[in-house]
Amino acid sequence: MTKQETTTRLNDYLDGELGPAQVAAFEDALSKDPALRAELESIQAAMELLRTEGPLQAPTGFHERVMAQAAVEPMPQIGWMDRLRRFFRDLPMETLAMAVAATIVLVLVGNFLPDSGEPETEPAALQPAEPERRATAGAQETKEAAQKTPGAAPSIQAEDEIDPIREVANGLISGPVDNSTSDKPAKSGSMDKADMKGPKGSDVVGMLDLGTQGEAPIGSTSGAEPAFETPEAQSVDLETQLNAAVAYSVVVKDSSSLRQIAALAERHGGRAVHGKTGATLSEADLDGGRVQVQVRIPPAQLASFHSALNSVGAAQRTSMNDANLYGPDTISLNLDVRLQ
Amino acid sequence: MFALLFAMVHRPTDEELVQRFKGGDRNAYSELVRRYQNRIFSVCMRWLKGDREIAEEVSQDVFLALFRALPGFRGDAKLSTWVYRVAINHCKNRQTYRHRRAHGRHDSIDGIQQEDDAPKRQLADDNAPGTDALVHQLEARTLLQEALDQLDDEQRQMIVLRDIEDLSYEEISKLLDLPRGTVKSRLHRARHELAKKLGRRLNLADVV
Repeated sequence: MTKQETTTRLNDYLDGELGPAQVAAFEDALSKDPALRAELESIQAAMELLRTEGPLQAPTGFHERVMAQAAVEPMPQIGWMDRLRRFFRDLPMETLAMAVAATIVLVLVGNFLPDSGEPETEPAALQPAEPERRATAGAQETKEAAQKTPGAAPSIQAEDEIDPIREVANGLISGPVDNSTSDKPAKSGSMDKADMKGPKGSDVVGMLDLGTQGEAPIGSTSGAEPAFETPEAQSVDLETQLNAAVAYSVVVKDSSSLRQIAALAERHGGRAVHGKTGATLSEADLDGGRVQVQVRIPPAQLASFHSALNSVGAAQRTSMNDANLYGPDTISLNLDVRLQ
Repeated sequence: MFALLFAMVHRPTDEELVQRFKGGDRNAYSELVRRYQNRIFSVCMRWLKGDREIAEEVSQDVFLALFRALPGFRGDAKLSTWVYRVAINHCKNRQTYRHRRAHGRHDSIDGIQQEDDAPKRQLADDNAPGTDALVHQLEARTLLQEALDQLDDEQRQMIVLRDIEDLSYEEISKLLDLPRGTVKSRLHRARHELAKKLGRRLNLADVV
């Protein structure tokens, strides 16, 4: 055992920090080493003297003198700097650092992702040309009527304006239009570009909700892609499909219904023709029990035509292509007419 | 009645007193002074080589500093550790000041050093005629203080904190910001040195 080890062992022995076996070994060493024993005894004597001495007593009147000094001191306050320092010291810095790092990462990642908060607008080349023609006075009236129709579901784009064409196309308006309920003055009897704008001035194209009658999900028909889904519609002439704004399935009782449809189209300022040939409709077209009819009417007449179509037969809107809702002159409706 | 009895029996902890003081209760500070005055004065006395007047002055400074600093006490360590740390810092500062101004008391050190070859003194025998315990105690205290004064600051602080104030190794380690092993080895050396100094001054057989 070296001198250092012996000294350490000796002090551990004095402090009672040795285990029983170590105590026995050390006491054995003590019995064999008189110098070590003498050193132990001298230290024990010194420690004994220290312990009997103990803490000294403060002088008499010390407490009173201290309190007298403190009495003239204002009560100490924690300064705002100390409070601030303590606040930051008590913060869980690791958690804070992780939160800051996560925020930075989110911000950086967010800059590289497309903005999904709003519907993506079509590239200019794919967007339909904005209507250059002003709609007729009926459009405005229809719009106002749409706003006033009881029970009408709120449109996703109708923050301050309701687009009558889209409302009608969505099947939200089915009854006759009551212009008298409007409390909004008509805008000089016409519809302008502003009427065809969605929220924040964006074009309504691509924002149309198609999910009202089990059609394609919302947003799935943005752009110029046709959204015909029913098997029957798939047989319709491709050009008709592409041009059609709305497709209907109409079940009629007899072939005379074709004349009614033609008359209906004319009453709405348009024309109904054979969907494939483009020829004028005749009752013979329904000899096969089914015919595709193309109806071209001014957009402003859509609401009225939509309502009147049910008087001809059991009409059901099967799809809608919002890109074609705003033709320059007319919009095209595709009617899949079948005999009952 | 029960509340009064509880108040008489219940001894508030240091932390409770600190909280009360932070709330503006000066009586809490008074209680803390009463609780620590002997220990602080004792440390100052030992550190400042038995100069009673200076020790009292420094002790008062320590408590005044505590009064001003208590609101900032965070409670990370025991109050006693913190109080001792303040006291030691004050003692060190005062000692540095004294050395710089050459006002330190070196008489006893010089005296002892000169007396190294003097014959050993013997503590008065309690049972001897004409002596009493008080004389014995005063003489022992003087010898102990003289021996402590001969130690260097590092050794003296170890002896004071461990063997007089009875702090644990862990408390001393925190107080002085030293590893436990360092505290132990310094204490070992300090004890050995103190025993040597005391052995020259008295007959240890009278103590043991």
